[in-house]
Amino acid sequence: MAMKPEEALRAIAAARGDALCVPTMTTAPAWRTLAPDDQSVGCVGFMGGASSLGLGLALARPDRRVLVFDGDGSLLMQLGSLATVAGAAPRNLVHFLFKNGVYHTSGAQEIPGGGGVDFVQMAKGAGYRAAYAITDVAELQRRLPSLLREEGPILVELHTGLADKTPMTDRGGVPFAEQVERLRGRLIAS
Amino acid sequence: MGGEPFALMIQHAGLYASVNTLRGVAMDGRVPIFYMIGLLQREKDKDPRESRHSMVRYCEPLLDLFGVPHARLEGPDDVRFIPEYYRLAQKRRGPAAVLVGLETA
Repeated sequence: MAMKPEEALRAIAAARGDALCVPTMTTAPAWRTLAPDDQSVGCVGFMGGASSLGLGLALARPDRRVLVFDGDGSLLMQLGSLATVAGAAPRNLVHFLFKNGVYHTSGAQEIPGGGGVDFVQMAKGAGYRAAYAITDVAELQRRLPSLLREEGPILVELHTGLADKTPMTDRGGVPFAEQVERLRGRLIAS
Repeated sequence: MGGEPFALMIQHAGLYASVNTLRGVAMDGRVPIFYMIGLLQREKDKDPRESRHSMVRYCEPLLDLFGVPHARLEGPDDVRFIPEYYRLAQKRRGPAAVLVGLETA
């Protein structure tokens, strides 16, 4: 049975340390609750941009681990970002892919290819240092410490069900520009 | 966002392909992005807005539509626009662009 995305995010929140995080789409509402800090910046409003946003942060701050919480539908919108990330080869980037097979935010329409798209193979083919699929939260919890130490870029495909909330059903949160300014201020000061 | 200086160098086709990022990141997110945009196939004897190539013709009107300040690099004297528009992007906390049309040297 696929894991709940909230369970996966809870496990990551417990293990992340001081990692900078980039949630997007259906991971964003849950992450606001699980990690209400200013070490995250949500990619909401420019679907598909999470991995590129994370790449920029990873290149600018090689001293910090950067975790991207991407969606399968989102990544398909900017699939070329796999090659961009691989080409830049940030050692500190972990690209989590929450794979549920649908565009949940807009009504759960099936993505092209449905659940059959193999992002692990795609990431490896693009040149990521490693890519893995994880299907249950116990395995994720067990492997997280090593995944967060491993040399990147790595992609971790998480097989999940649907989130309880989407950006359409839970519209709260700090506006993107304020998140950017807040994180920028913190990073420049540190 | 991470505090490092950077410039984005793309062709006009890349601008068209990334309009959502221009809007969502540079404008809504108020991230200062300095664009250097190549006008591939820009004719030397025509104003870009009158180009027979739609890729060239629509570039400046698109930037105007989104309120992005821009300047043309079309000769040696125009090179000064590079630092000027870089600083403008920082100052306005948003996008600013130079269009690389003709040879500058």
